[in-house]
Parts: sequence; structure tokens; C-alpha cells
Amino acid sequence: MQTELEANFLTDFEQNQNIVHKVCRIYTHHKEAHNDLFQEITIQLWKAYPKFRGDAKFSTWMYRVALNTAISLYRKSTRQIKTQDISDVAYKLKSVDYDDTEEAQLKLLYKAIRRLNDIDKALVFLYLEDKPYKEIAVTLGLSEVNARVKMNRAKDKLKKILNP
Amino acid sequence: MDLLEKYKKAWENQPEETNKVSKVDIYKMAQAKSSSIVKWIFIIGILEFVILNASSFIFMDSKNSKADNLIREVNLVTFFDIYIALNYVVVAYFLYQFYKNYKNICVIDDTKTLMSKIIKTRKTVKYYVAYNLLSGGFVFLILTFGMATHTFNDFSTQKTVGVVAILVVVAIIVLGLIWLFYQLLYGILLKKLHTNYKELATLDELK
Repeated sequence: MQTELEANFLTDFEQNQNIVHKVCRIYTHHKEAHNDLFQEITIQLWKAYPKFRGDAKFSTWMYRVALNTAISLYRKSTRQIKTQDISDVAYKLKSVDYDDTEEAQLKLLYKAIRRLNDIDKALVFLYLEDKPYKEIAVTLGLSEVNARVKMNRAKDKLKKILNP
Repeated sequence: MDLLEKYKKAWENQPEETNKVSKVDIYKMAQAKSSSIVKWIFIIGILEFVILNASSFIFMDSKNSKADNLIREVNLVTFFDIYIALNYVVVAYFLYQFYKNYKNICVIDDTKTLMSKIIKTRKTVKYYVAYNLLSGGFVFLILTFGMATHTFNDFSTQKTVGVVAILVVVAIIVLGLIWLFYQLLYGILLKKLHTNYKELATLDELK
């Protein structure tokens, strides 16, 4: 039988699972690893859920646990995409400049993000998710000023990959 | 429009994951065993603890063993009684630290705090290993010199010095190999985390 805690957790998680999928997509390169990371994040979320008292939004809390797991706890090697070097991305980008569907852009964006380091991934992800600097700083454990500096650098790196 | 703004729009409009995980599957996943770095550090820490202690028990604590007879022969009984008692105190302290560190690690901390706590946990294990290597080496030296002075009476003979020198070199090599093994083990385990931590830590220098 499920307890009330379990029932609440499952409902909250099911509704917000898209956040976790996005994190898995930027931190892993293939489906197997995606599922693996998804599972580890689920375990960590459930383990920490009793400490979640609803003083923040569930989704805010989910961002933190998901990113923490991807950056600090998840150990399996994230297979490097060696065949896909920067010039390759650049070449593809040029061809899409004319055929600018959002789907194509999204694919390129994911490819570019995957080339960043773990911390920059988190920063760029939080930027794309439209999180305020205050929340980004608190999530990563930086001062707001540092978060801005670091964010600008991460965005520059991403721009360079997208448009070298 | 800024290049990234265009991509941000595409990001915002991205379709939801088509492979939605059902409540039943979430439930099953949540019950599964974690394979997080912290867990592995803890498991390896415990294994080290068990193995190191088991070996010292075999060496030290079986009455009438060769080691025990040897200690009696070379008049080091008091020394070893004190050493064993002190060792228990130190080991108890480390056990407490292991537990405390492990309990302190919390996935809802901010990322930087979480990383520094994991690295601290690893440091405790490192100190524990260092303590064991050093105390092992120390006991080995005491025993060797005890044996040398006892067996040969005249410590200055060339033969004795030679034997002691060889034993010391062997001990250093063995301890060095063990140390190398640990470096390798944790190096592999923590490489990614260390890189990430350094990345975050550089920000403090920006102030």
C-alpha cells in the first residue's frame, strides 16, 4: 500500500518529469545513459523528498536535485562525442540558417550544449529555462555577481559553438 | 535579435518528452539501488576499514600465534598493549567521522556545498588510509629493530644492518604499492567531480 507521502511524490514527479528528461538529455549522449541518469535522479529525489516541505515550488527543488545528481553524484562516463567536432556543427549550422525550423534549431542547441562542461551546462540550462539569477546563484552555491559572470562566459562559449 | 534568444525560443517551444514515465515506473525506479559516487566512496571506505582491521586482527590478536610469541620474545608486550588500545581509539574516531560525513551529504544542498562535502568525505578516507599505512610502517620498524637487537644482541654487526635495511626497503615498497592502489581507485572515482569542483571553485577568485 502506498503512503500519502509516496502518492504525493508520484503525482508531483509525474507532472514535472519533463525537467528531469531535459537534464538527462543535456548530460548524456545516448538512450541507455539517459535512462540510467533518469533513474539515479529519481532515487535521489525520492530519498530527499521527506525533506521537501513545500516552502519552495516542487519544480524549483527538482531542478536542484536533478542538476546536483548529474554534476556531483552521477559517476558513469558520459561517452564523448568525438566524431562530432566543432567544425562539423558549424557546417551543419550554416545549412540550417536558411532552413530555420525550430526543430532543427533545437537539435543544434542540444548538440552545442552537450559540448560544454558540466557547470556551464547547468548555467545554460537554467538560462534557457528562464530562471532568475537569484535562483541560479542559490542552486549552484554562487554569489549572484559570480553567477552573472559565469553565465556570460558560458553563453559566450555556447554562442561560439553555435556560430564560430 | 541576439543569437541565443532565437535558440531560447526554440527551447521554450520544444515538445514534451514523448516517452513519459508512468507513476508505476517512477515508483519502481525510486526503490532501486543508487549507484552515486557518495555511495561508492562509502562502500570502499567500509571495505578498507574491514580489510585493514581484519588483517591486523589476524596479525595481532590470535593468542599464541607466531606474532604473539615474537612480541613476547622481544619484550614488546607493553608497547603492543598500548598500541592496540590507542589504535582502537583512533579507529573509533574515524568510524564516527565516516558516519558523520556520510550523513551530512545532502542532495538538496547547493551544488558547490554538495561537492565540497563529497570531497571532504573522500579526504577522511584518505587520512584513514594514511594513518593505517603509517602505523603499519611504524609497528613494522619497531618489530624489526626489536628482533634485530634481540636476535643478534650486537646490533652493529654488518649482517644485522644489512637484514634490517632489506626489510625496510621491502616495507617501503609494499606500503608504496598500497598507497598507489588507493590513489588510482579514488582517482578514477573522483576525476569527474574534481574537474567540476575546480570549475566552480575558480569563481571565488573573481571577487
